[in-house]
Amino acid sequence: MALKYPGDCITSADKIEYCYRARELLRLLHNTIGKWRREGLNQIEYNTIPQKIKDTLPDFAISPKLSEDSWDRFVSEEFFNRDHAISKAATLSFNELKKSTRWEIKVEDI
Amino acid sequence: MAAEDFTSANWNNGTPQQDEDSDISVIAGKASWVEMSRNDTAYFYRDMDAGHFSGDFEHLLEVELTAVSGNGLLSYWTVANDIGDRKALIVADKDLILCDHYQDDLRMWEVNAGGETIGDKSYTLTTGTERWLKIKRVEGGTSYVYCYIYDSTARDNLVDTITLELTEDQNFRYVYSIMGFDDNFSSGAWGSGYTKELDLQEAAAGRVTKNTRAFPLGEAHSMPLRF
Repeated sequence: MALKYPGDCITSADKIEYCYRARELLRLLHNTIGKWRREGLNQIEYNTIPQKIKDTLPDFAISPKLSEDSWDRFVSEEFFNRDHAISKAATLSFNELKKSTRWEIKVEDI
Repeated sequence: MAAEDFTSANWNNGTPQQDEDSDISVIAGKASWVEMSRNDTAYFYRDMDAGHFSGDFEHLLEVELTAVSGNGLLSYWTVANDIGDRKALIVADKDLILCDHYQDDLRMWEVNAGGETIGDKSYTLTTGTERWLKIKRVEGGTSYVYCYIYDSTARDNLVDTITLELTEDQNFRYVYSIMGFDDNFSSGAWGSGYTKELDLQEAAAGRVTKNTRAFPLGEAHSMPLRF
């Protein structure tokens, strides 16, 4: 799985920004699903879960609590694979930015 | 899966192999230290046999920074191929992956033949507040170690993630629940805290049983993943 950037996400700085925001959104989704597992969700919270994710969970219809099987599946596949893809993409841009000569930096002044 | 019993024979019957100032105390599921100097020779490890930590793995543990002074720096979790404190292993060009705190920052490091690589960010610990970690190594192409940081043992509310890009795939023999730095650098630098409920997620025979391999999304999976 590779992260796909929008067409106007071009520079390494753009891509880093995209990746970190994507990772934050993924973290928030993780925690919503985690709350579903822990204590259940109200309808508003449930509605924030993308249908594509709901479709991967056998008990996607709103239920008091998400099953452990569904939680484990979500973490190991839906969450982790996306997180891994984001990390790989971010690392590429991060390594490019390390070579940047845009700023004249005196490390002794940091 | 069960937490490591730090008082068992696997862990030297609860006696840290090195503890210069007798700062470490050990009970079954917890190794804690009080005002341990950054300069102390101190470590507590389990020998898992050569090459034990190979491929993907996922370790769980609970950590707390109880107090810190100055540039306090200690490792909560380390896998390595040799025995020693951190500075000694670095100087000897050894290999290790570790999770430490520097002041109140939680960090991930790889040491590869003396060269050091740090994770993409640090996480600021609040003294006296526990954090539950999931440290996950994924090998293949470029390999990574992730440190997922949670606010409860259920690990269903993710607080932050540190990503460490590895420079080389390595197999490791030893797992440490505390490792001092011992660089004889900062006076008045110490930390208090603990490592607790370290779960290597392995069966009693010592084989890795948890499949942590990532499968690409969108591909048909030939087997269901149920951990």
